[in-house]
Amino acid sequence: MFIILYIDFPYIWMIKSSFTIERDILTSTPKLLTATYTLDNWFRAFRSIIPSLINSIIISGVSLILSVLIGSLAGFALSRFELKGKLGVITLVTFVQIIPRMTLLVPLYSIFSSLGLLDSYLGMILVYTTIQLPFATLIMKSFFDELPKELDEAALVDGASRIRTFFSITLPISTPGIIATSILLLMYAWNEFALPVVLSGPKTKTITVAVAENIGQRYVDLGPLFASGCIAILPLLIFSFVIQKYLVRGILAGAVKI
Amino acid sequence: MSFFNWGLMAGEIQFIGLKNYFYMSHRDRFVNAMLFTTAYMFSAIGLSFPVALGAAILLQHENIIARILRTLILLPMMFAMIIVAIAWRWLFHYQFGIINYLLSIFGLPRIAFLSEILTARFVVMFVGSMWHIPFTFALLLSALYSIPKEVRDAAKIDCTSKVQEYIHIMFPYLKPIILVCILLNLIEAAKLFETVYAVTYGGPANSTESLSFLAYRVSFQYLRLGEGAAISWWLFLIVAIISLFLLNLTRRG
Repeated sequence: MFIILYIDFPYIWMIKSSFTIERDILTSTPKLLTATYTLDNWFRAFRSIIPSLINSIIISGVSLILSVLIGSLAGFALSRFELKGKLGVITLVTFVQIIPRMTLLVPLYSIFSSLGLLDSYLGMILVYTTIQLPFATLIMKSFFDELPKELDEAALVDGASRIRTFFSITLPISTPGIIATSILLLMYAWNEFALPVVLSGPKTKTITVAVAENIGQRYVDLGPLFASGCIAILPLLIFSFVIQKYLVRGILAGAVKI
Repeated sequence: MSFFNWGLMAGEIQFIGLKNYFYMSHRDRFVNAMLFTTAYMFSAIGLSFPVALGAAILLQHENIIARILRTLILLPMMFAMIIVAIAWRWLFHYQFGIINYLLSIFGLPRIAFLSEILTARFVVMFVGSMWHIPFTFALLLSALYSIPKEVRDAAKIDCTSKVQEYIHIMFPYLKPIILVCILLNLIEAAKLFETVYAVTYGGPANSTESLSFLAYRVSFQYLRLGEGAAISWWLFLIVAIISLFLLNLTRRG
């Protein structure tokens, strides 16, 4: 019970505060019933946060599609074909995955600034895809490993090409795997903070950056701040209820395959 | 890049070898960040692991309450760390924070958590470890479910108490996953960035800077990209060492 309080209390408090007027948030004796509730915070937060909400959707959406597409193709190749140096590729992909964000960010920043990709959608989508790709590849590979090889072989015998086999046999039967992967990727992309805080600018800032940039200032409108925090987690919350079934499986698969 | 004196302007780039790694201009802060990150790694695991284990053992049964509570623990895994961290920042606020309100109810003096070095470090560890609980919980729960039913039944018959049952029978089954879980959490903890960014922004007096955060500030606020790269490679070194352990472990298992 105590643990639940520890983990969930910040959210509960944030939601409560997002509906409360400023005067009742900034009190030294918190009020629950006597506080004045309002929807105004949410409207104000929405108005200021909509551009970055759209940015987040564009960036994480496009990079999700790209990385699932490329990742599943690469995962398929790694799982089915006898390639030279396959183990090397897998090790390399795993290795790339453990590199901390910061280690990537510093050189990325200077590369981006010389290419003029800072604060551009193309750059952001590229980075997100690059970051997600190793993970997508590995996890898709492990899903493909579970599928019976005989199905592919049957399709090949019937005269389908490799590509056709992939798109009309392998992809459809691995839909649960793809969904689980997409959920995880979407979650990471949506919550990503270090990347956009460095590489995005006023034009492409994502929702996490938009929420966080208010905290450093001396005077903050707390109500809208918390409301925008709620808006930032709301899509994932709704999403998680919709796809609850796949969620646990995806998380576990992602957790064990580092 | 980390071998260069690398500024943003053209012509400022100059090879200086390993100098960035050992004689950086923010050396004291680097040492502090290194120590703080290490301390954070272990304390975050130390705080979150027993809690998650306890919760996993308590909530492993199939009934409606356990299911709801499980969801409540797992749900925060979906959300952005930065946003919880912002909420915690205000919970620990000197004047308006709930934590201080609770202290004052019990007649204790209010504490300026975020403006004293020791308490600020504690707050970062506390908030950060909260972040590790859901993930650990999920892993341990799945491990508990994977214990064969026969083993559980046998344990029930042979052991006199629940505690004994867990220590002698369950623990050997859980051991590999516990190790993996601790290592994964250590890697995650080494990358600590968002919590520091939102809760303290490195303050007071730069005492709560983590390696990631220091690399961020040095590279993008002081614009010494070479030095920032060197710091981030130190971070990479830590993560790589833990990962090697982890790989070794998974290969054997």
